[in-house]
Amino acid sequence: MIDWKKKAAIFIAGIGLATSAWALNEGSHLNPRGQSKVNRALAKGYLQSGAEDMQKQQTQVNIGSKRAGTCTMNVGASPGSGGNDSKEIIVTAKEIINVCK
Amino acid sequence: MNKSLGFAVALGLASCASLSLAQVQGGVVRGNTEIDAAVGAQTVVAIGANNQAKNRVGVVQGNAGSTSINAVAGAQTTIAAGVGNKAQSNIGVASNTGGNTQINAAVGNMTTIAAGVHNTAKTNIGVVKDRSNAKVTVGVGSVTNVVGGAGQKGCINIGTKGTDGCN
Repeated sequence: MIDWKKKAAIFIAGIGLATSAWALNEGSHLNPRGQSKVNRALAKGYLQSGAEDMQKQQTQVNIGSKRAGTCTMNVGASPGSGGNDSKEIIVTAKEIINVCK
Repeated sequence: MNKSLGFAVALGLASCASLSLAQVQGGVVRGNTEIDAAVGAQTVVAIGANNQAKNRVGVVQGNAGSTSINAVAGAQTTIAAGVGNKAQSNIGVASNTGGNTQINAAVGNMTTIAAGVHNTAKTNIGVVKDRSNAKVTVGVGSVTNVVGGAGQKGCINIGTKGTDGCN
């Protein structure tokens, strides 16, 4: 027979997991350090491209080693179009973030 | 009352975590020429070693004729934690189809996370994995693909033909 303290602990753990799942679905799961990296990459993109161009390009962030080839992001790419802007491919997205760390 | 409460909590915990292969499939059909798949929010979690957490909505493999996929999905969350695990989300994916292919995919926020050594986090939306004639239209909310640990692979393919950086 489980006493009420154990039941309370299980109940709290259940609420915690449910809250975590909700937070993940809301896309707010990154810890401060990870979010900071994303923000820095966004700021760098704004500096290099300007805010208007960044908006046109959508928000795309890829954090990881490109040389290792283990952190890749392909958006609207096809071999026939040189990798970008195929007329047969249309992509609209709010933001696309790829983090490998 | 206490027994029912305990059961409800246990059920909630069981739905949040699985210790083996965790996979959700919406409209996964092999060989069919047309798929119309619509699903709501899905969350898949795999914990342990060498497990896979997969979300699949509107996936076709190996179809010689024309292929049409219309996939609509709510928020998709896929998580794998442990050694050698894979977290993979596929929404509107066609491979080895050969003929004309058309994919329309509309998805809410997507989150794919793999944490641990030699893990893979992969997000595919509106992907044609061959060089067939294809038209792809993708509308998606926020896409977050996160992988952490030594020897990991993180890959996002959205609206792509014939390319797959993860292979």
